Amino acid sequence: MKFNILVNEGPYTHQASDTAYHFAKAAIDCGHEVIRVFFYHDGVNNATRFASPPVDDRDVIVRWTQLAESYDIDLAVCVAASLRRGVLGEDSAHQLGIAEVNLDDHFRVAGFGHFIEGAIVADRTLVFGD
Amino acid sequence: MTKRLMFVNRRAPYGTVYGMEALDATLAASAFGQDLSMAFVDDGVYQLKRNQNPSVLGIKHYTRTFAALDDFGVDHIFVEQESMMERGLKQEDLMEIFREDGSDALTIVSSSELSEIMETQDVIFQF
Repeated sequence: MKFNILVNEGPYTHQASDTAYHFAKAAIDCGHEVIRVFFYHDGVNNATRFASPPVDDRDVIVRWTQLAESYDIDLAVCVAASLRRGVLGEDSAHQLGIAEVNLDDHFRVAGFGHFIEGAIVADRTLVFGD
Repeated sequence: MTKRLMFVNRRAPYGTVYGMEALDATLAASAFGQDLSMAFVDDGVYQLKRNQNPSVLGIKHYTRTFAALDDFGVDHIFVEQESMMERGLKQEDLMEIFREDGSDALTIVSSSELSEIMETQDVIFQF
């Protein structure tokens, strides 16, 4: 089955990103396909490369990047949501004249239409968050 | 491949960004030529209240765009009757939204009718 995943909450405050990750990994391990994980609302904060959790806690961001590396998963952050929250890829940072890029390079910036397209192509769309 | 996509609004128009985001998402979806509808339940019914004036809050008057939903291919807008009653809202308290042919795009439905309509959807986006 093809899954399209939406993550609406940031890391650590809410369990949504953890649950989405565990679901995605379990689905892949069972032979299913995760066509896209789309980060929306505060969920875009799952894509900052500057997150530095304490060593005795899980690293939510690194976990996503490892999943992307292992299984070549498309991790997409909503362009409007990420601009609002200061999660900047290279293009946005350049356009805004901001020196630092905090978007981890396993993630790409995409329009919300990419999520809709995923929902059309996938067999199931799962939403994680309130 | 055409899918039936429904955008469900459960939250009040102000206080959180979800109502505005739901509208943006619906408009984004309109580019894909799918079968689109919106539903308003719980505090979401307040989004359809007439005579809103969020400018006093410095917040965008996004619900004004509801009048143009037909132009974006949103054929049906469902409002849950029970949610309206619980909040003391009558049909005349809601804004009027028309289709191009002049017919009323807003349909007040019972909770059980809405469940049946949801059952026929391919994808439900909840805000």
